[in-house]
Amino acid sequence: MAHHQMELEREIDGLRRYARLLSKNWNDADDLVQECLLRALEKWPRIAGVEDLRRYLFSMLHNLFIDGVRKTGRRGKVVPIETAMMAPALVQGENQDHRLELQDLSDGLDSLPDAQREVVLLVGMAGFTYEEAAKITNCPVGTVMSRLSRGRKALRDYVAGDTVDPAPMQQLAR
Amino acid sequence: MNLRRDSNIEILVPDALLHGYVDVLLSRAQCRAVETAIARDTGLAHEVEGWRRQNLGIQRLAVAHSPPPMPRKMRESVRRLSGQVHPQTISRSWPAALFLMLIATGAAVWLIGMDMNGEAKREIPKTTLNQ
Repeated sequence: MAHHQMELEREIDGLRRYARLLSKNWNDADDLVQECLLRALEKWPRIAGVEDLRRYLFSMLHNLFIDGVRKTGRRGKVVPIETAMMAPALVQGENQDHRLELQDLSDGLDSLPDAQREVVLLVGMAGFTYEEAAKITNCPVGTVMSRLSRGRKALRDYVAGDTVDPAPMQQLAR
Repeated sequence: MNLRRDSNIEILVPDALLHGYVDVLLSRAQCRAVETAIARDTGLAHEVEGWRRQNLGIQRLAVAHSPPPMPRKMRESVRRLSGQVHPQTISRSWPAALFLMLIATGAAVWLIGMDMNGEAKREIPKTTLNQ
């Protein structure tokens, strides 16, 4: 049990960073993670027996994110004013070129449809295998692989400047 | 699917295999096949390098977005999950535990008292007969 608890603490930071890139701002990201933790608390005795706690938490976060997307899809997205007015704060230590490169990548990720962004992040950032990403997102491995391939190509094209207007891309995916 | 042509042979490398190679998810035999194809095709090598750079960029981006301090509620949730009981929880829970303990002790004393009382009543006629 103590092992799972330590594992959980280690995962919180990674979960927050993943949620930030998924939901595009810290407010939504931390709401997601907090909700995820509350569910974990509710289900703690059962979670203690889960073999892969990390995957379980990411899966829980995925479900919460999808629920949120469905709700905001119906109501329209509410963006906190500080998020809407301020550019994302990337690390100050990075030099100008790196910062711009990261900014392009960040914008590119934001332009991807949710399903593609999720898979690109699960594999590229969190290091999950395709099978694990499929379990987390509740879809077949083949779907994960095609989303990954399309997502990476779209991201590459965005960073290279061959940007397709992101709005129609997202509409097509829904 | 990428179709790559070499002077002697034609190598077919599906995208899935290429991405699997970048993500280090292939078997040894599959790895060898992709490496052979990469060695013969610089375009393919560039593509692989591009996906690798993209992955590294995403990882750097995740690190670059330094999280704000953990919100109070989240910190409490983490603390609860890590088994470190919050002092507030202790102060709230111990009077309740004491109250329950007092009720339980009271009930036990009452039951024992009732039992002893019953025993005493049953013994009275015996003593009377003996006299």
